[in-house]
Amino acid sequence: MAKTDTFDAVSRIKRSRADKAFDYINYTLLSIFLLIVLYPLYFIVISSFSDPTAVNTGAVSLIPKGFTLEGYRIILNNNDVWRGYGNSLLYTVLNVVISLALMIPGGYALSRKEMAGRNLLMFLVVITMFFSGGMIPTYIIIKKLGMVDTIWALIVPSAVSAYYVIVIRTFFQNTLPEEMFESAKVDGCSTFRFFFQMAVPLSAPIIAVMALFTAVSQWNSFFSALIYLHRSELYPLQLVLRGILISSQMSAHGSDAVVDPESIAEAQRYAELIKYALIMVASIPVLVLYPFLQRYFVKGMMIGSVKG
Amino acid sequence: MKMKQATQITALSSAIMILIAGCSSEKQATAKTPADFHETGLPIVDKPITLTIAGNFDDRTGAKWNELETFKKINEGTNVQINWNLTPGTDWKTKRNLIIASDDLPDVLLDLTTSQVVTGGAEGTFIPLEDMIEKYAPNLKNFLTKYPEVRQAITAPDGHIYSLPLANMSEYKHADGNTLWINKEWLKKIGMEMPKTTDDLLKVLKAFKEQDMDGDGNPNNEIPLTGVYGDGQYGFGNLFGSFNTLDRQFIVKDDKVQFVRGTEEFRNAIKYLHSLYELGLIDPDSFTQNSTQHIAKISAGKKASVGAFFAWSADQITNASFRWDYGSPMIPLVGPTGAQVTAYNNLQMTPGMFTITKVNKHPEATMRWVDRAYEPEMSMMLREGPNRLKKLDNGRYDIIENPPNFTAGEWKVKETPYNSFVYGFSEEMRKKQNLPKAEPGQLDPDFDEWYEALKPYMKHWIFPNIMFTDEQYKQIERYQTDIKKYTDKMEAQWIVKGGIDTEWDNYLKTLDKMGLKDFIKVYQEGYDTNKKNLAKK
Amino acid sequence: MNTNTERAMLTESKPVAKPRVVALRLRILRSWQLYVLVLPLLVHVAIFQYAPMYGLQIAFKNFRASAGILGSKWVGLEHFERFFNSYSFWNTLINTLLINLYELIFAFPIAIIFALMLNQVTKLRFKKWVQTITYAPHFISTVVLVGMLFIFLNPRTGMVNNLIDFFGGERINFFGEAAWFKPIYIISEIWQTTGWSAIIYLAALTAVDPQLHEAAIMDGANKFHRVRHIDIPSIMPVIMILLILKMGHFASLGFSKVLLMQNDLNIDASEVIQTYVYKTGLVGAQYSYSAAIGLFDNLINFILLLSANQLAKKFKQQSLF
Repeated sequence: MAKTDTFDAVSRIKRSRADKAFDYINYTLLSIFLLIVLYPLYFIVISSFSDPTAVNTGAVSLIPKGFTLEGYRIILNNNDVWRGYGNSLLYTVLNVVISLALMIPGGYALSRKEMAGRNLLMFLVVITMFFSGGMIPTYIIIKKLGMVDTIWALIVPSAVSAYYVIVIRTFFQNTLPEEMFESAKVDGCSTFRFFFQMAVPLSAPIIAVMALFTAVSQWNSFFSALIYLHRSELYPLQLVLRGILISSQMSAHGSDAVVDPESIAEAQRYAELIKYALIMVASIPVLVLYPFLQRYFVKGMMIGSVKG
Repeated sequence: MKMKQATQITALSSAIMILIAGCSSEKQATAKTPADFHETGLPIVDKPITLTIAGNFDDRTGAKWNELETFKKINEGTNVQINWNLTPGTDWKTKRNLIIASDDLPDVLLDLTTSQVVTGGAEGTFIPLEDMIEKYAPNLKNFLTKYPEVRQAITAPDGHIYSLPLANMSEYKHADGNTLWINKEWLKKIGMEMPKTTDDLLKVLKAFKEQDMDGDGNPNNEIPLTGVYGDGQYGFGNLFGSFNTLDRQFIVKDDKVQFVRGTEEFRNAIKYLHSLYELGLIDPDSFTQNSTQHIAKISAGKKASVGAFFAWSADQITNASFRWDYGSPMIPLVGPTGAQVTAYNNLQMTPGMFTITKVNKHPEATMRWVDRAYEPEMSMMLREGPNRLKKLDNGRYDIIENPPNFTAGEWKVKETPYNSFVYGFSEEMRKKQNLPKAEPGQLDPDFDEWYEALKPYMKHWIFPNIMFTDEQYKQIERYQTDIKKYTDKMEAQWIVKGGIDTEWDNYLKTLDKMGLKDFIKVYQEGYDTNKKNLAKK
Repeated sequence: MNTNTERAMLTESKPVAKPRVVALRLRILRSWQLYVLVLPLLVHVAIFQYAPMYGLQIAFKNFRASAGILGSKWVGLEHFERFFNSYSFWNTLINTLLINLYELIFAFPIAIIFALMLNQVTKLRFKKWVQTITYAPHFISTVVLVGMLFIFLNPRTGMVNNLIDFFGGERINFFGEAAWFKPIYIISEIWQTTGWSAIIYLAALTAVDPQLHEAAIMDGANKFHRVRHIDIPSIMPVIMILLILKMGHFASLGFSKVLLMQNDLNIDASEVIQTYVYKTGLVGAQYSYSAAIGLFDNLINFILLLSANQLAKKFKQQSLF
């Protein structure tokens, strides 16, 4: 008896020492990593207030040099930017809703072992990651669906990502314990009821992650807007901002066009001026999203609720 | 039954109608023009029509082209309305490819490559315009008559014109923008003359390197010579003239097309550049920096830190506090064998700026509408910005400088699509502007005086603006990427690391394997055909 | 469950094994609700992925806009041959695979380790800050990222070289030497993606049963042991799946970053398949040629993914199918 007690005590001390060392190293390494990541971000912030020449010659390092708000003036004075904000917000919300509505049930069904042919279906989904018809036939189909120049072309075709379906399936497979299904079956709970009343509430973390991922990729995307939209009042923020960043505008012309050097230089200067301010304007909304979703990342929440 | 018969009859009669119309339109093109179209005067059409035009925009101007002063004037009274379908300039390349490939065409497509124009013309995507230019576009017709080289540049090898150009015929633009600028204050400090030969340049740069030029006590922080390798404006091509060649992919000497990077002249130029690099006279950044960083570097600080650099201007891109240190650009240096050459460039032109597609129901009205942009004063406004021009009583124009709440560039493109739409700007109109005078003793490639100074050294070696055949474009596409990439790489390595003499034969063999001979042949054929056609006219 | 048995069930079922067919039908009937749940997803995939797939044929044709995809002329494997015989083929293929290999060796595990470490942090405020800040680089556009690399690594003025100089080292022309291209690429990739990639592992770690940890503590396991024996095995299925998916991207790279970092002095180390396709496209609209290269690329990816999947199955790990 006494022997085990001392053994326990010794091991506890040992363990807490090891744990302390672990924590010490852990916090140190994470702090170093944090600083390494942080500095370039800080650099972007101070550069957005600095004279572009000073930035480009390495003169900006700790505080802004040649303080200017010109970059922000240009961006925020542009009415298209504000409309783009509104559009992007709307597209992001709609896209997340559609994406989750398609991928969560689909991923769940594909994770269920009792579904015959699920591997074949999975295979069909995976193939789409590798073989696509390309831009032209996709455009033709979306045009036939009457989606060209409407917001649907931006939010519907991109709603499913095979990659995310796979991740969702893997999560369901590994986090919902088999006993739950068994007991549900015994209780006579239907698949639908089980999915909506058990699986979904228990999968808050993966739903949060998927919401975040789809929201971010929709927020950052400009390509489908570029291809499918004609009316510039429908442009999402990223496409508006791309328009402002015109440094490479001149290279868009045919290689046989001779252009004015002064217009190139002027356009480049303009682009340099707003480059950093642009990132600030474009990414702050999505940066805020993450801490908000973090509360769904509570450890052990899923299992705890199953037992309770 | 009756109904069916009736529809059959109408179907038949309409088929006949189409046949008849088809016959007559071949003989008499005007037969198909709508009744309410006017060949002259305003409005162009009685009933308002709307044309959809796809193109790209400079964001400083914005995408609302109908609100621009220039387009308000062009549209005024015509009954032609435009539905602009504009893409940011950065992404236009993707968008235009998609528009053409998916066959989802607007009435007018702007800003295409000549290869797209020729291919689209051959495939029937774009309609031939030469007859309509003759009939409905007096301004453009005048312009093309005045500048046959522009007509030549927009004529496809099949003899048709499928596109209308953006053309800036200001003569000073013949001068090459890629010039060498040297710090006169530094020259004074070391008591040396403005270099006249390539040897002089080497000596001057050496002195720049060895001494503390900016007087900060550190003799090692000066950059003797910098540029952007491979860049047309900021690259090292200027020095090629001292070796009797030009830094272009192809040049033409005595009607013979030359691939520059396979010639002895090129080899000598590279050897010279390597001799500079070896001595540490060329900034190593030159091979990694882009033009933005280059400009930042030459304009940084309160005092100049760069001895010499390549650019199209010094005062417009360096720092205001020392921009006049660089003074006038150097005239071409004399090379070891006495060569002293600069390019006589083609004028600024985008041949594929405006095409009318097969879905356009009003090609004549479109032609009359676009001709309004070629009206000389309108063309000048499209080029210079109507807000910058003040017409004087004597028929000349003053240039209005940018107000403080606009940058020069924003001001210039405020009311005009600038280089994203057509215009035909003639030397005659440019001469009517009261241009700002150069600083005394300073010249710039933007001034006519500079063009005059360069004239004695100009060689007409530049490959002309021409359109190849569809088949020839296919060939060019095939060879271009690999050959360009390989020669770019080898040239850079030879300048930095040397070894051109030992590797030269192997290099030529590799180029042969890549199909260089066929590549040259395509250009030679294109050149020959063009020359023949020019002679015919 | 197993792909093979299932395929067997679907194909060889005709007269031999009637009861099996009945069993299959029964299984399908019994779980009809699952099919209803997956149906919208399948319809979406059918319309937006499978319907346009006829476009794949342009890789074997000479695409002409006026003729359309179906009307263009067949040329067989001409475009593939041209690519395989091109001067750049081997160089671009090797660079692409090597950069992906380095990413797999360095970037992939770092995100996992980072997630595991962060998961052990008990100070919630610190954890939140680290999480949010390390996630932010994901939003930095490539243009700005590469611009910063140029500024920080400049041989004369860059702070990295100033540091090297300060400690008595020789200044390095990072962008002027081919050997530095891949390290710079990978390190900046780690900077940009670690926090983002860790999110999914952090989410997976929330599913670890706390009772396992409690029991382990009772048994005298320290934190390090628990990470090794509880956390890692728990998220192993997710790691395996992401690894398999990573293999499915092995012959591709986001091209804009490579392109921006590229110059004529490092081109031998930096030309990858995607930048090559881009440059080919610059010269003219060579749709068919680019499509052929893209298809070749994805075939490699697909084969790699299937092999990785088979391997995972063999070692009784989580697999795709």
